[in-house]
Amino acid sequence: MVSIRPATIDDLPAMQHANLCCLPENYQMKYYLYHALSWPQLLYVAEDYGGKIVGYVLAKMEEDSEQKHGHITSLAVLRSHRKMGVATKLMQAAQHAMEETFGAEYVSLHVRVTNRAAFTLYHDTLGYRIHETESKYYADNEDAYMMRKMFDISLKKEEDKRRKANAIKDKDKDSPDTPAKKPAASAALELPDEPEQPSSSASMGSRGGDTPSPMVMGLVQCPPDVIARQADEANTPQGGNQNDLDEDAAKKNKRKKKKKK
Amino acid sequence: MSQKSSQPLPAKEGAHFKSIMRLYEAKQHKKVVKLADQILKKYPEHGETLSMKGLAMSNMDKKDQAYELCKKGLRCDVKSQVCWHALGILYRQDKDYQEAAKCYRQALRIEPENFTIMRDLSNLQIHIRQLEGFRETRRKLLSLKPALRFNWTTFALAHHLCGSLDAAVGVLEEHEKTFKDDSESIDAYDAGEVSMYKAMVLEESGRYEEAIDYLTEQLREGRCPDKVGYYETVGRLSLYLRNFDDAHAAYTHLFKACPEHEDYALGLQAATVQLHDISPPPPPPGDPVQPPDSKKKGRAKKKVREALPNGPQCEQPPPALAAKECDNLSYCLPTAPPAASPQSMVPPPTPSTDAPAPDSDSQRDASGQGSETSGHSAPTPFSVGRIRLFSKTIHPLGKPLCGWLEAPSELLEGGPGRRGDGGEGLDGTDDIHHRPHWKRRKAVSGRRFECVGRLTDEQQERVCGFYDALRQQYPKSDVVRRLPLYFTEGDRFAKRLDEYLRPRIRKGIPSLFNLLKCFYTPEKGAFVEQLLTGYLRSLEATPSTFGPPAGLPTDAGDANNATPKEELPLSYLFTLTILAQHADYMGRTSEALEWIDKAIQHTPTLVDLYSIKARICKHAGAFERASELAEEARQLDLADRFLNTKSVKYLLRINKTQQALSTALLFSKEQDSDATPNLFDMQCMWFEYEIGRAYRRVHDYARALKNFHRIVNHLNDFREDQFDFHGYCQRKMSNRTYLSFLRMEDRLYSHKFFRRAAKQLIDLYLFLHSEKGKPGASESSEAPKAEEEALTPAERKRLKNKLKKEAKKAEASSSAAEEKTATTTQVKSKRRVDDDPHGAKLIEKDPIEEATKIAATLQEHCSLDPTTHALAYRLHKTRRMPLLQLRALRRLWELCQRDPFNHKLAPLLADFTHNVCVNADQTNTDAPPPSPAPSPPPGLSDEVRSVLVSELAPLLPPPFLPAPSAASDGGGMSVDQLRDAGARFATAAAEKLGAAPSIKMKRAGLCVLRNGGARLSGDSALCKGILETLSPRDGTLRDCIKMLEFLQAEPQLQSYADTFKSSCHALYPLADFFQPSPPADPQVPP
Repeated sequence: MVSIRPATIDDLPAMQHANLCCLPENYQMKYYLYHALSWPQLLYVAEDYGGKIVGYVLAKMEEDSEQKHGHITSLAVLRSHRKMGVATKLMQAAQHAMEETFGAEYVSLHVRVTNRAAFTLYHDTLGYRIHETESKYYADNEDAYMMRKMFDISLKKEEDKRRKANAIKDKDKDSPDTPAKKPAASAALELPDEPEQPSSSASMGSRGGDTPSPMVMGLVQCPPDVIARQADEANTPQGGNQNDLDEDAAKKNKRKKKKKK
Repeated sequence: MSQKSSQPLPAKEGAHFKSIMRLYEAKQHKKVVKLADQILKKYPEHGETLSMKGLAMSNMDKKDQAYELCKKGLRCDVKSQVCWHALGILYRQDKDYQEAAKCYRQALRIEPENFTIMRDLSNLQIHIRQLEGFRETRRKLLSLKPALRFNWTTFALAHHLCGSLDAAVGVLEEHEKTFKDDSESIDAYDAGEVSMYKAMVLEESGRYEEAIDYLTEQLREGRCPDKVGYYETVGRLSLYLRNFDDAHAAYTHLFKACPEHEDYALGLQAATVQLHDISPPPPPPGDPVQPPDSKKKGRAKKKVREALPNGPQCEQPPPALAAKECDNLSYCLPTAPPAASPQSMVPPPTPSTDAPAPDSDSQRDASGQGSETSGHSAPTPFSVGRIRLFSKTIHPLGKPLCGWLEAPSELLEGGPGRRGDGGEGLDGTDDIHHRPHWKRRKAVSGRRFECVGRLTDEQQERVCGFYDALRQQYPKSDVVRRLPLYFTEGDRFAKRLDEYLRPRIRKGIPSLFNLLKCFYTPEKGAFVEQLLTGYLRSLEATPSTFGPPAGLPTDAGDANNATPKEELPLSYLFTLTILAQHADYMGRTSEALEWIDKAIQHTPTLVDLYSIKARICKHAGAFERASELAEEARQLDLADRFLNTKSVKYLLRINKTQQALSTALLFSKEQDSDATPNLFDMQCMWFEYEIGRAYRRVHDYARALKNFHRIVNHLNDFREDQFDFHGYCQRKMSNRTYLSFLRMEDRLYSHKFFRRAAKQLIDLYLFLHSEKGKPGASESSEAPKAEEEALTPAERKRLKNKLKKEAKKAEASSSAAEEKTATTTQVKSKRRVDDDPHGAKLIEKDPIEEATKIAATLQEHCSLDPTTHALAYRLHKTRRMPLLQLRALRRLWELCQRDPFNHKLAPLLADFTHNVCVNADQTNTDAPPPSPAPSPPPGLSDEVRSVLVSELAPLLPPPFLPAPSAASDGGGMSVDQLRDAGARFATAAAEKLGAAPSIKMKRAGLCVLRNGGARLSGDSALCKGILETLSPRDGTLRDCIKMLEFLQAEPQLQSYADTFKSSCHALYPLADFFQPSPPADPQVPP
């Protein structure tokens, strides 16, 4: 029924349309362009038989942070096409690209604390863990869970680090400490779930499928105020890091101004 | 730069000027102005200071002063690049890119080595697609700073854009050499993008082997992080090269990574030699089509024979031109009475009663720009239709993307695609999907796979074997279970469908029916129905099961059937749901309602059931009821925007604009009105389109215009958005993406969102123009009031409050905007208040002028859409420009494959011949009463007329014209001859169209008669003949509504209108529009 494929620039209007049809958080075309032109491999769409876009994932890389990682900006599946695992497959495709093409160490996302269906998908199906809770992240003051999923690279790194640490410690004969440290290292990977974690019954509802419970899947991560910030980035794609042209900085900024207009 | 300036400043002012530059960068515009004033006090003629002040003013939204200052500055110091640059920037801010480019060029003349200005210029040039200029500028930039990598890649791109592919490759190779030992200055991803770009250029120049070798080497060196991109390229190119092992390996990689991608599976299929008789690999793009090997051809032909009577005939070799025209003609206008019988199909050129064949033909023919252009009789297995089995990642002519105008899928009625609801015109009885009436548009059912044709048992077996093997490897993939369904028939199909459906019904997938829709060919459709009713029977029994597996000989199935598992109630529920959708799809509304009500009774809390019921009602024409149901569904889950969207759409269909607006605003971020709606900021085009149409239906033309214009504005914004990304993409060196971006922007205005808004706008403007000419011209401005009257007191109150609030808000925000500019402009003040929220000013503009503007864009970008030319014709008729009318006609004619009887073309053709002749005869008399045409242009010169006549002649088919040799004076034709020809044509066309068992065609026939100058009434035998054969079964619900509206508008046809209405009512008992009581407002757009 639905084919999952990498998005192209030509899909952006349809993606925006899908977003406007089913999510409360919306973005201007420019923001989609910014994603598609910066990380084209991270955009996937779900297409139904007639070619209609019925779902998409919009993701990006956070390259400036110390650990290079991906971030899911927005994920949507039209209500008419739910319960087919479309969201899962979209997410998996984007995650795969993050890892393979960009060498991401982990992927993060935000989800409304009340959005159980989405939480279940991230937590149970895809293996995300709560990293922290950001209070009043959304425009309507709702809190967000910031969730993360570690990729193999970072797991390996952790492993290496631990091994190295152990080796050093072994050398130093500081052995009594090691067992205590181990759990700490892995704790980063498997954060204990927040007490508020939706009960397992929720996951039964949407996955087991024996109750026709409506799946509330407004799977949005990025609220508009954050977008405003990011859109700003997008507005001035030239703004950032080009140290190559320092003597021209003056003129460059002149142009930047223009853009703002 | 002030040092270099021709107007040197003393030290103190010089320092000031420097800080001006600094402050400007920091966007401290107020301070810039202050400092500039200080300098200007002493040196009022200092050009650069004036210019900088101007720039600052411009950023404070004082445009007039800005231009004044900058121009003055330039006058004072013509030799300063600062002054030229500043003026250029002003122009660029105002999007006058041509002027801006001029200024930049001047600035460069003064300072030829100025990198920044040059780069700005190059961005302007690429933006306005001055490609040669862009290449030149990039060449200079590269020679100026060859140490920057992106100067190389961008220069290569410039070559590429100019069509010099080899030069582009050369530059990229130079780039590689130059930076051979420097892998530090580029990160792995960017390096990969450069490699992929080079492969892309190689591919576009047809150097497939090189591209593969190059990429493979890159991969080996670890310089190709985009594995998906790599394998997609290698897979595709290997298919072109017929290197199936490599292609197979590539698609295996891809499918492993994404086993839900249909095209990867199809790529695998194309790479499997054993399946080439079923799905031959696509030919390389642009190549002359490969001659099929004889074996294949023979098989193909055989297959066609086997496929009769109903099987698709894509393999049919294209008939010779003449035969083809005949075929197409018959396709549009079946002359023979529809006989759902095989005998009508035997001689190939006669009207074929099977839909797919003409489809594939029209596909093949209409893609004029494709390599396998029409008209040549070289038999080929690669019709465009066949290539469209694949996606665009496999072939550029692959399956079109949703929303974009492409030849030929959206071209002709009956062509495949989302828009056309053709097909019912083929013949009335053998609708292959057996879809009676109501559907607004024909489903896309199976079109993509139809081109494969009907497979033999042995072939089916092979395809199934192929997918079953894949299934072993990818047990979770839905694709490998789904695709065989398209290729199989009969019991094999039933068995697989059964296996596919059961677990999915168990799971309760709301969209399951969408899958089934693809299979509604008469044969497969029957299987689906059988299967579903069988399920229901078994589920209602105890124990509740799905019954024995289908598609197996009764004895063979027993083994599995030994211990049927008891199903949960969910299975029963979803079987009911699907049955309801099935019945709805078949047009059996009451049955559908029965099923869905049963389902709702079973589980009243399942929201989707209400949505489905709403849809059923919508299809039955019960728009009011549908809207109620959609609203009910929304109430059940207020947090779901999808339900909200649906409800809003349904509300707009019944013209409840206020309620729709307030419902839509529930999901809008700010408490906003329609003066500055968040919906607008978020570019919510579907809403603007729908509400625009609703406004139009309630005669609120100003608001309708406003909303359609908003869409046009969004598209303009999308285009402008481009500008910010030029430099960004160039620096990122992601040329591959950048190029596809540029290409997308180039055809932005062919997107459906623009097309449909533009059509509405032109139509509305033409209407407004005709209203203006009428005596009661003030009507249009009264109309909104009339609507207001119709509101309930509560609604009126709300409206009033709303207006008040808006006024207040507008005030507040305008003062706020001022404040904002006063402070540092943090957020761009794009939220400027719309000074014309309701289109009051728009409607004052000259409609013809506005329509002409829109039409120009439409003609430039959407010439593949027949409606474009039909609208252009109407527009030019209003403007009394017969030559332009003729041009529109000719283009439409080409699009219709030169078939003058096409139902879109014939009425216009009749109109034109009639009016040209009338004009010729009655210069200076009044307009003929029956035709709404404007009085003839006073001075239609003989030259013009003779051009018209001679250019028109080819459009009329030979039987209607005197033989060309017989034509008098220099091959031309006299007006009399033309008139006779036109009249004969009109009669023949009306006869033909009127005889078609299709409401749409019949309406076209009536239009031909009317436009040909005849008065429509029951007295004319021809007209009567058409009117008396009207049957609502010959069209969709929308066709019927349009027909009824047409009839109602003709004073002489009232009795026919009433008869038709009652027969429509009989067919659509629930439809609001056909209710016998005095109808409410017309519900459906004209």
